[in-house]
Amino acid sequence: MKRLLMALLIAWPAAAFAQSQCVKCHAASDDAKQKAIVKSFASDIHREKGLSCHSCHGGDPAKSDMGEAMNPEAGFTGVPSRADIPKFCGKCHSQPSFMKKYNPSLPVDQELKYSTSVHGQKRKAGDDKVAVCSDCHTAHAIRPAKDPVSSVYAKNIPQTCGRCHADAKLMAPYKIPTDQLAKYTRSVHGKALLEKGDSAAPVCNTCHGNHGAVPPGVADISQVCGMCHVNNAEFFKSSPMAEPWAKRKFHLCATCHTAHDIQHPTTQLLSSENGVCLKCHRPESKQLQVATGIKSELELVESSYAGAEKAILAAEEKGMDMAEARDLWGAARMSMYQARTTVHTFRAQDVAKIADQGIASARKAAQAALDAVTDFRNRRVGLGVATLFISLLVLALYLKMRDIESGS
Amino acid sequence: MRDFTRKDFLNLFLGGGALGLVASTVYPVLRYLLPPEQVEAEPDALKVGAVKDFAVGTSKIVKFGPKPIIVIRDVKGNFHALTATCTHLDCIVQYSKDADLVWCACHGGKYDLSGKNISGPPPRPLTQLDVRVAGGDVTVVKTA
Ligand code: FES
Repeated sequence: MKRLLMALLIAWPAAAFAQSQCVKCHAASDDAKQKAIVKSFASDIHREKGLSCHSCHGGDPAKSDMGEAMNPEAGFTGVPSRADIPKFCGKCHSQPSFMKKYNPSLPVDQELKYSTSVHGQKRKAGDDKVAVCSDCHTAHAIRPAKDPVSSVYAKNIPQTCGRCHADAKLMAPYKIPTDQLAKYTRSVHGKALLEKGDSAAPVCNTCHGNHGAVPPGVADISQVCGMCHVNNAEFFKSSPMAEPWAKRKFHLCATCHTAHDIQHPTTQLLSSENGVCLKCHRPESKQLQVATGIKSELELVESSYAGAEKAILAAEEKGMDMAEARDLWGAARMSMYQARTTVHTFRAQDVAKIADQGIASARKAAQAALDAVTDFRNRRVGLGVATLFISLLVLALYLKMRDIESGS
Repeated sequence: MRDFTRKDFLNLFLGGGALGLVASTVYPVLRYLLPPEQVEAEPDALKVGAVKDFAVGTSKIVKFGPKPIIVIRDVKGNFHALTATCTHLDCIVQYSKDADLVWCACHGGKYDLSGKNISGPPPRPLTQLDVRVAGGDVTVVKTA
């Protein structure tokens, strides 16, 4: 019974859609574009929810006469102009009481947010080329953001935004860069999302907002990055760098890490030869000395950690149980991560305190692994000695028997 | 004095060899042949202590088989048990009494007491385990 009900629920919108006169005529049209609209709408979320062409465009889907079906007096609005699209979608999407029927948890502030976005502001100022709802969501193949085929599914967002923002010709009048997509794709965030499939990795709208998209300002950027990189942002705020940076209006995180091209940070960032500190500080300055001190602490904890891992793997390869050494190694890793994060305090002693704990744990882990390998070798030597003894004994027995035989 | 003959030498060698065999053959052969200690299998339940060992607003990290778990007695006195390995980069999480939630010192990730990741970089929740309190003892049980 439950299954039958489900089947009916699924079939009902499809049947209603198929019976619409709009669909019948547009599907039979010679115009390939009209046919494509009907085809793509078949998988649109609105159709799935029981809506059809007339739900957005008005008109009477029961009438076969075109004049009657598309009579403006009967409410037919036809295709909205680009400028009108936000209001057109907002007819329903800005109505809490209406939206509640379909999805009570769906926000209803998209139109309002859009009006505060750079897109919305420019459109208000008369720019007809800026993005409207259908540019990101498509017009007739709209899918929920959680659907992997949706144009606004996390993994598809870089391409969706990049369709305009990576188009040099389209962006030329706005005089803004068009390399964000390329940079994002090769960034640590882009790789996490696009190569490793980590859907928790940030995409364009995580930092810029979606409907209210604006570039994050100087004051906002630490909040934006700090949403995920909590400790880094907190440490930075209490660091000696916070005040001078605020005065100079530096972008908190982007000044060192860049905005779209963020790479996995290495100790090279602190290098006194080509590190980011040199953007502001002289190589012989006190600040560079602090950076060098932090860098060597980090390098030491990193190499101790890597050395411990190598030693553990070697012992594990020999079949030795390294559970305890692995725990110590895990503690070293934890200290290493914490030390890296503590860099944002820009206090060498804070970094050293944590890094030293990691170095100690890593050394203990490495020692445990070396001991295990020594144990393994001792067993082998023991076996060798035992085998030698057995062989000699066999030989002695043989000689003894020969002795007895010759005696008798 | 009698000459030390080839027979004597063989007898001595055989006697000494027998002793050496016991001393140096059996032990290393056994040690070599016995497999190294196995990593503990993951149990289905583990007694983590008495209720009185857990003050309100404290936590304990214990090993549940090979994996660390965090057993928390929250500020209201309720027990919770979660896997203690942060889902971001595997650091060990801690309980913060002040915020009454679980946090990770490495990058500041936060989880609620049911293990749900609520802020910071962790991409997934921590796994929740059942806690049974009976006869004054606290036992953590793997959720079915
Ligand atoms: S390892 Fe826990 S937040 Fe990064």
